Amino acid sequence: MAKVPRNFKLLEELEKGEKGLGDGTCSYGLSNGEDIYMSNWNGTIIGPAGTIHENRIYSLKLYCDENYPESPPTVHFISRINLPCVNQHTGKVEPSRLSCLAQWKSSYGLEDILLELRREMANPVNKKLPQPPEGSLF
Amino acid sequence: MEDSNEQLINVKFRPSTGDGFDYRFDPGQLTVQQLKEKLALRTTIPADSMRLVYSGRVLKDEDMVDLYGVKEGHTIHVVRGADNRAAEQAANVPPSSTGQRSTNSATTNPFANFDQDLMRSMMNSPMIRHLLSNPEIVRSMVMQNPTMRQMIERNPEIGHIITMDMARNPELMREMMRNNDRALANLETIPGGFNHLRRMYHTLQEPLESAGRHNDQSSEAANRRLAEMLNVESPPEGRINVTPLPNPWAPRNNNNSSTSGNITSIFGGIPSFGIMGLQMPFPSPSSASRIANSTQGSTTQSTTQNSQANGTPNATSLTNAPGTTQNFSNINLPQNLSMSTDPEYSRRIQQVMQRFMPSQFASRQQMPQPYYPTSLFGSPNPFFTNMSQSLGASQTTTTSEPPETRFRAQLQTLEEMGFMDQAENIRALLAAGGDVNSAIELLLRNLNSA
Repeated sequence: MAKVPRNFKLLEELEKGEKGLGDGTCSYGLSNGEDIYMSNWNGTIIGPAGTIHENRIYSLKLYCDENYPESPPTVHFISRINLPCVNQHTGKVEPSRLSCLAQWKSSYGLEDILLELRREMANPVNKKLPQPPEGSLF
Repeated sequence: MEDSNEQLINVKFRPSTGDGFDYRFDPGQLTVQQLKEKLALRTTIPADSMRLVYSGRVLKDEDMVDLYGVKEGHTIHVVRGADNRAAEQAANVPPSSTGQRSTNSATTNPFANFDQDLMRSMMNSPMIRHLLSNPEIVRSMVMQNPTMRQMIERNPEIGHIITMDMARNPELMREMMRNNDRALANLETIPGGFNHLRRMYHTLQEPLESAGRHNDQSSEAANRRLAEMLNVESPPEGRINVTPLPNPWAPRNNNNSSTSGNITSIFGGIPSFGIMGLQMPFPSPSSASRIANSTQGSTTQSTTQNSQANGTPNATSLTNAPGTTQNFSNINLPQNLSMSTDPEYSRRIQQVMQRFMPSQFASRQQMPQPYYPTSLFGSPNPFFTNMSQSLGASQTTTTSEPPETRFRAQLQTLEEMGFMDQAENIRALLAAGGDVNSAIELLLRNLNSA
């Protein structure tokens, strides 16, 4: 299978994020529009309805190194959140605890990670977990 | 800014609920706060609980919009934040119907036969509401009706049905109806579910129905006979019922074994059919089709028996279930239940049989008009249609015509569809009892496996 060059893939994702082509529950874009290497990204997840996360917006930062998309980006929560896959000291999403990072494929994108995290929030096991006050940061 | 037109851009706004819209503005001239105020006019979200999200960032009220690099054609997500009416609304939802729901699902549905809309509008009128909000008035109203009073005295657990709250709320009502259906479906799949259904029927459905009718003990008696027949005992109240479903075809030792070739008595002897099919007035079509399915076994068997009685063993090979005939000889149908004891019962059974095998009965005698609820059998139930088709087909196969002539139409259809191997087609049609669709399935399966 043909390998998609890193920058092509990221440009594609950037356009998708800016134009909001996804399902509208997650949003992402470059932290710095001048960053020609497109390494640092922001992401937001809108808390799924019917869970403790409802009406909250979670901010994340994602870092795509030069091996992206062969290796997964590193993902940190900026907003404080209580989830099993999130390190409670650093806000880092532990790759071993999130299946799409643990079994990363180069066809995955940033949106897949955000969507999976959102599914984790809505997971019946997690959706009632007590959460830190809104607006608190890691 | 002399050339302010240059700065206007079209941005898509996408609320989390509802349709998105385009809005044209100058990001260099507006703070996020100002933009929100403009957007509030076009959405249902007030500006101070609105959150704007773009490119993975939440826009801050005091920033200018162009700080975020929003460009022509980009999308900004509009989200309702935490301090908003939604939370209030959620809190105002009347204490959820869960309590009612659980009781409702355990009961059968007394409102099934009412016109829902009529009832709802009636229930919404202020006078009725006022009346019904007073439980004492409701109670005395219900108690005015002697049959209702009798029924409630006999079955105190029905009393809670007369709280009319749910009839006023269309959502609750619909929920109740749906729950009822689902509960019935679920019940049948758990161990002892049949017993429970039976008990439900006894304590609720049947008293409700019979309160509306005049005094008629026949269904009571028939139910008792069914219970005896199946060796079913009422499960003890308040304990989990772990008894397995009774097998109506299980061999039984306390019986005389003579089975006559008479179809009606065969049917009469299979009690689940007579009682479930005829006297259990389940409200919804889906329950009806479930009942129909439960009778499937009995009908197949009687077909077999019938063709044997006619001296044409051909049909047995069609049903093709190994050991069908053997099973059948084990049935030992209880004759004490057949029509000899209850002529009305057997008359109804004959009517059902007539529906199933019209061609066979047409020549015999003119039956009286059907008495049973048309919702059960009169509706175009796909199961029944299929069954009568296959019954018809199995009858034709017992004739001596060669399959080529019998299936001429079907063969032509198959050839038009591109199945050119006539021998194969005939074989498939024979196996499918003449049904083109099943034959096609068989042919395709053969193709795939080849």
